[in-house]
Amino acid sequence: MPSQTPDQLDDTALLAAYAKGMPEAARILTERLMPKLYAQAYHRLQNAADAEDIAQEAMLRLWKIAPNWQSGRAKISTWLYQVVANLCKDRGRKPPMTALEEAPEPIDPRLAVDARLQDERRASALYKALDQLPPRQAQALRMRHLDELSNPEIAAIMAVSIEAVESLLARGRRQLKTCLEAEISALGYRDEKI
Amino acid sequence: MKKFEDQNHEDLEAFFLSAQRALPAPSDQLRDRVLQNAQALTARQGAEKSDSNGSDIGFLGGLSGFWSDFWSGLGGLKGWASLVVIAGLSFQFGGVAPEVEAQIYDMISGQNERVFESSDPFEDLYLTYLEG
Repeated sequence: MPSQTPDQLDDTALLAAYAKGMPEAARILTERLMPKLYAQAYHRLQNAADAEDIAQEAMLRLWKIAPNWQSGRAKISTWLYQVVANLCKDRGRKPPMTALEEAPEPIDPRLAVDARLQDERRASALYKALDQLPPRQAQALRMRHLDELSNPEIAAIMAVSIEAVESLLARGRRQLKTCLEAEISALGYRDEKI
Repeated sequence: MKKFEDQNHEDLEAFFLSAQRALPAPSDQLRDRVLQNAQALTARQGAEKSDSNGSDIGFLGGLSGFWSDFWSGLGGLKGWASLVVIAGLSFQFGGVAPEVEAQIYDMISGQNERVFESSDPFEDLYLTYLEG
């Protein structure tokens, strides 16, 4: 039976390897987890500098807990998700660190300027609309469609049944569509089918 | 991006896709900072461990499970050193110097009064005083 390479190890095994002093494990965990944490924080705060700070802080907490991590506990990704959610709540009460103009360039610089502006406007409208929804509906929608979590993962994080998650998502989508009705026409979706 | 189960909401999907595309990339320095934190913490935890255990590390390497916990539970090297000192002193007074114990016993029972009389360290001084 071939032995596993470090890249094939799951998060828990990698964290245990890091706790035993294997730097390669920290590198793999960072590349695997950090972009998701950053994206999660950015979708909540819409500020790249704050999102980077939060991703860094969440990873630091992971390194600190590594020697005492119990494998039978929660999944590492679920635990980190909650750490980032709490850090975002705390950060949301403080003023943002930098202005939006100082944010780094988008991932794909080849996007046409118009398309990029379109995306930014839609994103901005979406964030505003999500803020108007009941908090749990907005939370479920963010986790499902921005953080790309599965319904069972959302259920575990929100401590509800999968059926409750489906219900939250269905009601949330209806309400979100109502909030975005004007934007859907104004921001060009009618002429563009994906 | 997860597809919407309800295709009536594909217009919403366009908004979520836009939000994904508009996500700025994290800076290159973020990855470096995270890895530096990991390395610094490993180094610090290693140093703290060797400080707190001292020479225990080599000894504990040969122990496992229960005995390792037992050793640590009693305070490691410092705790055991204290216990050894206390045990040594107890042995000294209780076993190696039985004459002290016997004298105390005799003193209490009054059977060796002369020993104590003759061992009065101020006896000569007292006689000198009486003789003027």
